[in-house]
Amino acid sequence: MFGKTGIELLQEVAQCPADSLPAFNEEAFRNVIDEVHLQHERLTSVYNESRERHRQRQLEAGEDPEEGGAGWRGTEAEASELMVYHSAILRNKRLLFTYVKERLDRIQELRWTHRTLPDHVKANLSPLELQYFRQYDKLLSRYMRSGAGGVGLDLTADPSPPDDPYVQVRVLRDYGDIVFTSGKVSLQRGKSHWLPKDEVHPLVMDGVLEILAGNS
Amino acid sequence: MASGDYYDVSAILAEETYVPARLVHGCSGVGTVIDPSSDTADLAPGTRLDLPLWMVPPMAGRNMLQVDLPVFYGNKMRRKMKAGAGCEDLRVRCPHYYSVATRLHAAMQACLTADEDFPAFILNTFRGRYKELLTKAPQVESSLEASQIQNKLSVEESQLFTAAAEAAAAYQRWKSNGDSRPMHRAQSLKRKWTNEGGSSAAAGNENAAANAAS
Repeated sequence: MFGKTGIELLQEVAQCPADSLPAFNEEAFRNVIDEVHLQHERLTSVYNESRERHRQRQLEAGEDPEEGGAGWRGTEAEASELMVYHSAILRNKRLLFTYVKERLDRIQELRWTHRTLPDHVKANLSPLELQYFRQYDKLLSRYMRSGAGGVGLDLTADPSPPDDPYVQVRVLRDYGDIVFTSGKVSLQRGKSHWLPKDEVHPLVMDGVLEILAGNS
Repeated sequence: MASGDYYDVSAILAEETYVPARLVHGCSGVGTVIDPSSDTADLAPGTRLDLPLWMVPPMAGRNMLQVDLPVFYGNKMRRKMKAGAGCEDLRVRCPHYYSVATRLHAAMQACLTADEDFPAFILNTFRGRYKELLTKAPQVESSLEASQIQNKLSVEESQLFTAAAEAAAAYQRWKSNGDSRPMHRAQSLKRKWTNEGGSSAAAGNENAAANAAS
């Protein structure tokens, strides 16, 4: 059946957990495109053949082939065949579009939740997707910068409003001394501190700190 | 196909469902492709075969197909559903039960084979099952129990079930300590890949510098 390769390709992404991506399947992607080319070739040849036949018939009957409107003059069975090709081409197109879009949506989402691409995702991207991420990153950073056209806020920093500006965090790995607005804190593995939440968030995303449950 | 569904993965998967159809005019050339049981490239008018749902609407709209109801919407199934809609295992029969039904009915209307009782049947089925899953969802104790129930639900129902269970859990939290929000999002962001290479360490240093500056 037509469209099999395409749906398998899409399922690769659909079945993958949300924060990672399978490798860009260049081969399957090309195979689907080849399938479309084949379908298009068949479609055109069937269409032209039937037109040519109709022309011949008209010539034999002594009519002017240019007379009468353009339109389908072939058999219904051929028309069905054309529709099969036509719908299969549209289907394949939709599958490929969705494959690419689904991947881009996830790449974009990673920019918001992790700020950088984790290595195991980065390795699976196609060069074009990497370029997309870099430019999206640039765009978003420029928007968040203060100055002309920017809002001057880190929009990815704190997705939900805190009840308390301070949270209790535990340090997951040694990170050296950091100056917070509440004072200088030396982050040593295993210790816990009360720290301003908005300043802590980037470190949480980097996996340096962990917010302790029960005080969010 | 509604225009909003174009990039929707589950809508695409739903359209992979095969439905029985009859070719009104036959079909030349592609017989072996669309009907695996056929030996010849040309199919005679009146041939019965199973087609994927994505191929059906454009062809039914041009009167090339007569679409029939698949087994899981047939009379036997309707009797079973009437007896106890909640007991049927839809995941096995057709994981996208309701979206396939709506698309199929539109296609059947286009080729004038629509069954007028069909929408009512689907609606009643959904009504019965929805009520049942809604009452079950807040009482689920373990994830094992939840997955046992969800294994019988169609994809659409499964989403409703998860939503209902989450709502019930949030209500419980609110009742006990006045905070309906689940675990903080930053916590769930905690990275699973803690041992990173030099690139993220560099990014970390930038943070440190930014923090120091502020």
